[in-house]
Amino acid sequence: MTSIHPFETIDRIELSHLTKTYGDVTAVSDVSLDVIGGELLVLIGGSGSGKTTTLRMVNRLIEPDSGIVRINGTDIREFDEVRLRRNIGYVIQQIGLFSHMNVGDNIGLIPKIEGWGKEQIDARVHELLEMVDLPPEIFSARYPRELSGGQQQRVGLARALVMNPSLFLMDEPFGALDPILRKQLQEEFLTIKYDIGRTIIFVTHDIDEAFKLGDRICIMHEGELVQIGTPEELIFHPETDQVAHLVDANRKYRHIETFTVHDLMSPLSKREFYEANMPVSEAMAKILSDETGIAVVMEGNNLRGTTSRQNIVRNRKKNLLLGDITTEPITVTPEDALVPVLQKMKTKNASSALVINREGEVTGMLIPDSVLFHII
Amino acid sequence: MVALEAVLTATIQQVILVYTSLAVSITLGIPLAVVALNSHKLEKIIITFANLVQAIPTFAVVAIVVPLMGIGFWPAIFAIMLRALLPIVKNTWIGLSSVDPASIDAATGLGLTRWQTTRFIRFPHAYPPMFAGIKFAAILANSVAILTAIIGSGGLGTLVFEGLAGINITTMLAGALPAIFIAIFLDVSFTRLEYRLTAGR
Repeated sequence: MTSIHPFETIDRIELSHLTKTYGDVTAVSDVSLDVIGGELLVLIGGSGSGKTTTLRMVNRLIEPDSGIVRINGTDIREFDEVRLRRNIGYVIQQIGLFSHMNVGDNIGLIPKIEGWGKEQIDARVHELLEMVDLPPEIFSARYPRELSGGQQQRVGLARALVMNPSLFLMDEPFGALDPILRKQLQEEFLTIKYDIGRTIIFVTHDIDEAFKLGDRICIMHEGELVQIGTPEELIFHPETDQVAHLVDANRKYRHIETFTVHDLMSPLSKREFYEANMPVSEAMAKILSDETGIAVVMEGNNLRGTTSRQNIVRNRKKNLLLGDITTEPITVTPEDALVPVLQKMKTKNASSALVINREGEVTGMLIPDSVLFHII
Repeated sequence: MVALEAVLTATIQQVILVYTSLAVSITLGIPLAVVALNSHKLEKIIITFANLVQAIPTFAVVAIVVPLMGIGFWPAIFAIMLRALLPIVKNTWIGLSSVDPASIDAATGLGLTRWQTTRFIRFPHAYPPMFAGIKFAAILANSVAILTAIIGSGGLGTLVFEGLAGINITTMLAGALPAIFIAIFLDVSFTRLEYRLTAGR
């Protein structure tokens, strides 16, 4: 790589006393906070809370009127702004793919400008498309308008990863997607997040997204920082009524003890059922057009197991049958009480459980996120 | 009867007039559009000037060049260029400035310089309107180049005016018909060039 990295890893980002005004409007008012290396910090607030302005001051898309941002102790104004930005991944809600370039060229633009060789660029594009579960042989030559919203956002993510940045700024990356797709991309993003192990500052207005993704959450309101802390700290020790209202602990979890699995499971459609003897390559074509991304694999009338879109895409080139790549799911009955089931899923780190009735039929799926979605 | 040789000479002169003025207009117009893109002050001046020149009748443009530059080939080129500049500047400028702001934001955030954003994001986006502007300018140049015959540029206008003066239909047509063919050729060739350069999108 020919690029000069101003920083290889992030130890600490300090935002100190940042203020930015536009005419009479104060967008950000004396905001100070530290981002710890390796964490995902969520900035949350309504429109006009200053969260996006704060984010954009970190890669110098906006220069503060006063205050300093330091990365690993160095004032970011000492870095060349172009070098700085190439070391910071940047993903926005509108994605901003370049419509006249295909997916491969979108991802490979910065490496091309940096003077990489064609083979090196191709290899990197290939690697990144694999990472975001878009088979390169299918997607590399496609144009942005030929992609769904979710696929576009994956390309946006791959493009932001191309220079291997140690810091990521994400401005409502899933905000424009429909709820089911958003949930699915959040899941996948979590696995990628652990893969890449980078520091991430993430802007959202969605408290559920904040709780789901954030290691720490920073609540902003009208340009000021209201409270910063872990999700638990915010729920149990809200500093203001406003925070208490936002995290809304009481309402959310009040009735949960009374629910059974049946109340909150998601029904399964025929689309989500697959035969165990189906080749993985064939299953991929089917699941790529499917929103939930989970396959229930049957052997005749018997359940073989479940597998995910990610798993299918990653195994597409091995000459396997679907039955070979299933895992044994957690199974529950519709009558089970919800809370113990969720606890069991949490200890096993499972993202879904299959619901099987007394007749032994698979009737639905329990996904913790949609549970939360139903309760609130 | 008009000598074939005279028609050929006039046609060649006409083609040289059109392509030279077009080349000058493109070399001048595209940089002007980039300048307009990068400075609000100059943007106003450039676009207002281009619109203003467009509003002056073509005959007046040709006439006004004479006291400034005299008569002959280059004054004619200048007059044609004044006409052909606007569609190029305006269309290029519109193409460059109408890129999705999210693409520009993403490009800047990813670490493209202002120039790289113009080169890699704005220009490819601006090709279709830019070519439409150039095509229109080429056809305008062809028609203005007929008029500039009265200030001594040569070209097919010479035959047209000669025919008009002597009420000689044959001479008139000997000038007008090749001009029509040139116009059709310009339209077809630029359309094909445009298609080839923007194919697949």
